[in-house]
Amino acid sequence: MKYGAIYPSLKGRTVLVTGGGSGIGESIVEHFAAQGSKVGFIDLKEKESKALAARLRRKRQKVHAEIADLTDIAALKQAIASIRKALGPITILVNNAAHDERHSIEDLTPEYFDDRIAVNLKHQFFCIQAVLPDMKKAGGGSIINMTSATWLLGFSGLPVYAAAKAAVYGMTRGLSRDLGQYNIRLNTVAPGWIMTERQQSLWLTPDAEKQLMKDQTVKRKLYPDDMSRLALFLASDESGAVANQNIVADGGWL
Amino acid sequence: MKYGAIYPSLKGRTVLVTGGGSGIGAAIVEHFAGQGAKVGFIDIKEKESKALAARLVRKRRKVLFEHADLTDIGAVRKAIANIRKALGPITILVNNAAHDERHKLEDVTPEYFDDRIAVNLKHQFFCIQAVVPDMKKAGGGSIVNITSGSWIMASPGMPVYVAAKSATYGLVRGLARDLGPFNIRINSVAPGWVLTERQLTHWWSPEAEEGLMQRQCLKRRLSVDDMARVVLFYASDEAGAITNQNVIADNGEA
Repeated sequence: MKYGAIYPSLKGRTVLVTGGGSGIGESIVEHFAAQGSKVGFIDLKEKESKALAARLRRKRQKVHAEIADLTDIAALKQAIASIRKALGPITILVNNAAHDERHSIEDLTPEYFDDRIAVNLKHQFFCIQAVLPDMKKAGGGSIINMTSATWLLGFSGLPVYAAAKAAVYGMTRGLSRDLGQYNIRLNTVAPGWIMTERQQSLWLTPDAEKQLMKDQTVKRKLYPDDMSRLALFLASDESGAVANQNIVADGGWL
Repeated sequence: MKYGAIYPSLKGRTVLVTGGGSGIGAAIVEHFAGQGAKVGFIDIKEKESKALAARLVRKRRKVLFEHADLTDIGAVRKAIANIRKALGPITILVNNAAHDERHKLEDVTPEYFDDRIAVNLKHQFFCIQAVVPDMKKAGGGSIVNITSGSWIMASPGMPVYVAAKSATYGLVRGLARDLGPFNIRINSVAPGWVLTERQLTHWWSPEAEEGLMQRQCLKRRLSVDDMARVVLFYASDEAGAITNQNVIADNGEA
């Protein structure tokens, strides 16, 4: 694609992206900023986040990075309050932060279970809780929860991650009717295998790529920008009729 | 929404829309034409279609109306050949034509069954067959089959329509792997209850709308424009990672 779409309904909007410092989140931050949105993002990774914010500010884009551990709900709330103060009421939320650390059933402790839920699910709920008053006051909003195709495809080696990511969709279904009356739309995006730097360095082998090209109907690798473009659409007024849904974006794998 | 999105990847593309003369199809034709696409549409309704084409041509949009009965596959092929000749190779197809005529299980004859399949399903297949050579030659394309929320919601009173519409999603699943290697994406869009003129005059009542508003997450009417905006996104390069999928656009009813 030589140039992307322009969404006038995103211009000037305040967007919150969690895990915006690297990977898919970084691309989402960049894409909203390029639409003229004001983007606040929360991430644990200080160096990457500051570099991203500085890079976008040099382009005269409006961004604000908050360094916080999203498993610490008090810190999360404080970070959101700071973003609201800097950029105004938040009417778009992209719950993106997650970690796909592998784990096996035998070794799993109750503490590690709680930790994976905290890393992959719990902060999504509390980010929604924190931005809800802004969206109600503004007369509407759009929430995009990043889930994963892992639980739809039945991946092995990360059962609690898969469960938490499935629960992201469950939470979307469980909140849509409560929030719909305020003109707040919730949807999830289920990425397939997206070639972030982390994925390429950890998991992409020639054999794995060969298999992926068999699994996907579209014979090209997917990148973070593919997910960002979908997030823009779901955040914008263009998708006004789409709510309570899961959009699988996996190159036709599933 | 004050103004809509701009999709540069749709500009100059040749689009085929079936059933483009009225209802959702007419909105789809208008929206693609508004993006600077060249739009050929096929419809059986001559008067409405000619009026639509004339109105868009006055705005200097590139549109061509072909009058044909989509249940006559020979006529469909001829109409598509005319559109290709006038507007160039077709790389976007929106299979929209359908008719939700009510029928009772008891009354359906084998002939009426075939007729409903011909009106709601068969032309989708043969339109795909007719445009795929253009898409292969062009290095890719996007196909959007309009299905319906009726089979997801289990709507009563039109079982063969519901079966045919579910089969349009079956076509998506049955063709995505064959067409993916040619970079052709195929998806379906399932509208909820879109209040077209036909729906308002035939089926709408205050009670029906009240029930709808209770079921939908979002308490607003679905418009034909809502559907057109979803179709634009799926046709554009913005949706490059999405194929083999069904997207429900129903204000969160399902």
